[in-house]
Amino acid sequence: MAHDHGHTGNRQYFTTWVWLLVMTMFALTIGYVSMPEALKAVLLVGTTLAKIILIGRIFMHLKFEKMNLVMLTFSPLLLAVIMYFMTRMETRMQDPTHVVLTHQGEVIPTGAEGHEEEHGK
Amino acid sequence: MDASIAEQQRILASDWGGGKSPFGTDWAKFMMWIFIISDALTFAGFLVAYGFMRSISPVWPKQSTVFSMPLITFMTFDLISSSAVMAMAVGAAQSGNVKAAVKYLWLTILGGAIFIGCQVYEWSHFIEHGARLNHNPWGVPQFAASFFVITGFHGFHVLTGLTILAVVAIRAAMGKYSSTSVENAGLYWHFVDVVWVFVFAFFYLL
Repeated sequence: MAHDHGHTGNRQYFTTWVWLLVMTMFALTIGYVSMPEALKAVLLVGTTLAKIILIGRIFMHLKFEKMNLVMLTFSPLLLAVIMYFMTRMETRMQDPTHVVLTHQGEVIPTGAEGHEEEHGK
Repeated sequence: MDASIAEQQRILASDWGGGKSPFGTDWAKFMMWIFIISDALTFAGFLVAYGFMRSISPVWPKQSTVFSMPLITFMTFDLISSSAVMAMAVGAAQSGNVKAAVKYLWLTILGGAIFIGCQVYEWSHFIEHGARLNHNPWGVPQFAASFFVITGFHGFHVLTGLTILAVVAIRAAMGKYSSTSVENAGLYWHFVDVVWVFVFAFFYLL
């Protein structure tokens, strides 16, 4: 049966717990160490994915489930990635017209200021 | 006639023929998975909105100067530990060891209660420093709003999980025991842990 959990014991749960703690400490180190933001983001996303795969496989017993259920459970992640890259097109890196206001109505200068390429002209 | 019965049996035996679960799980567990997937979409929306806000903000407060990172790390340790104990509760329930299952369930509840206590402490300090849903002293308008909404929704899920776990533990102690209910409660609790893994990385560290 797909949901036979006879092979997951407390020993494996303990090992998984230790790995999760190790990865948490690694993520914490990444957060504190000075490095380029893009590299930090990639490392943190990688560590986070490794942690959720471990929790899903061992704690949630996805390793015993059929592949169609496993793929279904990860579908929100795929949609989140699509949504993120869709909205990225509207960020300061892409749209120089963006203006961010404080609560008092003051304009916070964005990184796009001074970057006024006339696209398509 | 025999041919049509054989054909009917062949269809029922296939994955999507209606004779068995195409996902290989029982109904209750599959519905829990569907609920978790829909809830994951909610948090995906929050985290993507947060990512968008971070992208459009030229500055963002350094989290370690606003939050107590040792406390956040302890909260993460606590929730991961409670998730591991919950997995042990499910294992005990499936092997028919009700006494151990109930013990592990109460330990999980203790872990969740400690997490909520830490979150209340963190929220009260944040509010004391002037953070509100629509403004905050750190200058970036979306900072406090995203904190309150994301951690608030997660905290609400932890509270809901504690209620579910308490009901399951009490029912198991009364002899109204089902390993499926422990497993489904466990799936929900692990999901709460998964969400926190994302929040910890993207809200507090990135």
